[in-house]
Amino acid sequence: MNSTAHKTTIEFDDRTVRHFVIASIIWGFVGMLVGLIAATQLSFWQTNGLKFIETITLGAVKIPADGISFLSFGRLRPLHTNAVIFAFVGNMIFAGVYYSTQRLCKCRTASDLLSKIHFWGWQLIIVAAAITLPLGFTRGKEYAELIWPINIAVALIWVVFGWNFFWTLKRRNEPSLYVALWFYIATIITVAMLYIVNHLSIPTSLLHSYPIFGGVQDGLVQWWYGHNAVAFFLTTPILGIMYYFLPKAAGRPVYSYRLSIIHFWSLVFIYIWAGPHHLLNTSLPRWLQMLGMLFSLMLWAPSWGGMLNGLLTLRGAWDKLRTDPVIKFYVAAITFYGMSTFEGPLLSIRAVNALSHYTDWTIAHVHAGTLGWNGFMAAGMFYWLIPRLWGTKLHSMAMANMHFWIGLTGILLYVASLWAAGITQGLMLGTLNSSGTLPKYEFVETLERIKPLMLARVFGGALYLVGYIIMMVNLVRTIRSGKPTVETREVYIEAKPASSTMTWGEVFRSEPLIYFTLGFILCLMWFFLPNYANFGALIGGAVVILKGVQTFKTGHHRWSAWHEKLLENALPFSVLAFIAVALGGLIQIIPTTMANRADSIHGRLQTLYTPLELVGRDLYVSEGCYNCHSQQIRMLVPDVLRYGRPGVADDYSHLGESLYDHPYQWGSKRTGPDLAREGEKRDALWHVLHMMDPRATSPGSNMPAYPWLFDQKTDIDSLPRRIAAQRSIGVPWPALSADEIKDQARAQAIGISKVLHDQGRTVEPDREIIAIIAYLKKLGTYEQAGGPVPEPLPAIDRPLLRPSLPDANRHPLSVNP
Amino acid sequence: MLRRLQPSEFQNVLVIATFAVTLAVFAFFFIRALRMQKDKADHLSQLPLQDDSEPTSPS
Repeated sequence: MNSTAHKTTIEFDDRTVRHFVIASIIWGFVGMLVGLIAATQLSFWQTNGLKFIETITLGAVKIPADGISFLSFGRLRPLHTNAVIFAFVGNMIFAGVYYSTQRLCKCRTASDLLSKIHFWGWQLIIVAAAITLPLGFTRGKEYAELIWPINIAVALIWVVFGWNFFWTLKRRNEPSLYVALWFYIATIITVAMLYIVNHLSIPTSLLHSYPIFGGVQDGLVQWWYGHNAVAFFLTTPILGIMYYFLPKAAGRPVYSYRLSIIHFWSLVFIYIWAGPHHLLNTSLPRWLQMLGMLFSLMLWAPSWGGMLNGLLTLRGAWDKLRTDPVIKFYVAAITFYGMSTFEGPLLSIRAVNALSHYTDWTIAHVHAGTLGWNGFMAAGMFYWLIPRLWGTKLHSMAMANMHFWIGLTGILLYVASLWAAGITQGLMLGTLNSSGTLPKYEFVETLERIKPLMLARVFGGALYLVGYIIMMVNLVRTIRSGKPTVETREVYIEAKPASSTMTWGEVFRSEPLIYFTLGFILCLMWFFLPNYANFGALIGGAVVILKGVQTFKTGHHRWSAWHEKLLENALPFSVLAFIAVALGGLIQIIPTTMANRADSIHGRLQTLYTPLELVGRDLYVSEGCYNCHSQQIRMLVPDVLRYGRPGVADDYSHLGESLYDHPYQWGSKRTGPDLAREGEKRDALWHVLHMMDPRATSPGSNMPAYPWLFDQKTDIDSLPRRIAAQRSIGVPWPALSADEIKDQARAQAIGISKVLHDQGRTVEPDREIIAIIAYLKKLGTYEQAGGPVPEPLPAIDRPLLRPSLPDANRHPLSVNP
Repeated sequence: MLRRLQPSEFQNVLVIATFAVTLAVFAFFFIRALRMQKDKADHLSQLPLQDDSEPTSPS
């Protein structure tokens, strides 16, 4: 024993872990229940209101409303996604992180006060979200819907969590950082970066703001965030939990520690680039689409490396699969991780994406990951943790097994039915008539075809929830049979030698970093410098690399020592990991930011909204219409023929057509048709009838009715503030006084009301439905930007305009007359 | 021959450059992971399994 070491007793803070576990279980139930209701609404539109109760009780209960605002799908779906991601999985992550970090660092969490602030702050945020989202207060970006005051609270609480975590790392009594801690570090710094950038907004009131990004730029930032929310919130922390709890449950170390290191670095470096695969075949610049596809395909290898590492950890312990429900849940979860990380890159191939995007296939993919990977990892962790946290035994193994089989059946039913629904709908929407000039099926026909599959999905989701309820009962009974425990551990503490601490100079003035950076910059200069100078740079780069190799040969011990030291110093390690993930975002976003300006646009440039159209657009966002309707005609013949205008050349959505849209509204799912050209397609009366009763104008539609839009008054008074905010983020509104803005809005509203009156329908001009109609009538309007208009794309021999899937009914015909 | 790799559009350079950076950094960590000493890897992989009831010994 080292003479400088002394023994001490550590008491872990498991109270915080217990709190997060209970919160996760409760919010998981709420989030899944809301998801089940939302899924039911897609099969039975009546459940967007409560009138159906009157029907099923044979009139005994009178609730006449056909549509109730806070129950509509557009508002409930964001509540479901936010609840399951941030409340259910979020609390589960915090429980796992607090429990494992203390044990891996052999010390108590640095601050109980920070832990309490973290816990209660996070629960308050969830409650605030649960109130504001159904009321229609939203930013209109998927998984980033919460309004700006809540965004600030999230950022602050995340800082509290990060502070507490890194402080604990600093106080640790174990010099090495286990790989699970690496995954937690990457999670904390990356989520902070993604969340802050994607939530940058200009407030117009306490409850409303506009994102500072617009159009394609907003889309790119949104999916840089959205994709990496999956990567760094639903994947990396859960992998950290897997690397800690799976060996504990299996009673043996991870199969290959080396593979876990490779798994970590490859995920961190590759994941961050893959966001643009959510925007394939759209007006996003092609180089970004290729980048997204390339990096998504590269993700196959590390993801499967991680899956195999997890499964092989059970080598020699597979017999536990029969007896231990924890192992059962973990094995199924890791298998789902493997399946969904196989499917993700598959869906990122442009040709496959042409079929899958905007359909339920994507929803199936996401739920294989969330229900299978996240949900089952959570269940396994709860079954392992709760008996230990309350010093007792699991109440019923039979109930845990029942939960497993019911839940597994539910997931398979859910996922398989949505696979079938997505592929069916994608194929139908992409099929043209025999002459190849028009779509073969109406949109609503595709909805009719997938109805049985949507019902099967509801049934699958219900089964999963039943399994979850069985788990809740089992765990409550387990908790009741025990008492909260306090776990202590005796550890040896050694005085940390001064040589083990790394200074910033040692980090950045190290040979590996200097040679790599210099060599890379010089090689890169080859692309940018003029002739001769570029060769000089290339030769310089080669010399630096050769010198680096030579230095490595003579001093590889120094390089190894630097790397080993880095891995034991959490802060420099975190900074380098941050640089790794930030690089991806910067290189993707900055060039697009510079290009996404009116003076860079040639061809179609979006026409500015009028004040009434702007407030109508804000209502469209508030109602969550983007959850079902896209505003993006992809560069695919079936899309152009279905949603474009007859006789208009190249009528896919162009880059400049959504330039001033804060937030962008391209959507990610088409439960209803695309609306990019809606303005010219229908008149005001059609919209009035449609919003009052969608079945009256579109038989077979599953869209909710919006009767409250006919009662509520448009908020004209806030328009000057909204327009001022838009001007501050670069939307070129003309200089108008507050009175002029309001007068313009009122005049346009009166005009629409008069048109409706002339058609025999009376609607007061101050109602929200008028503003929404003004917005919908504006969709798809643009002007030609200054500068030379590029030649129209030839329809033939242009890969982007060819049908991306082999289909005998499709021909590479010209869309143009 | 190398100059033929130079693309006409600036953005395409970024695709190549980012791929090169990612590959280089990944290769570094890959090699480092493979060269990690066995006893170090064994010590790290045992960290979650150290018995809670027994005091841990200094390394």
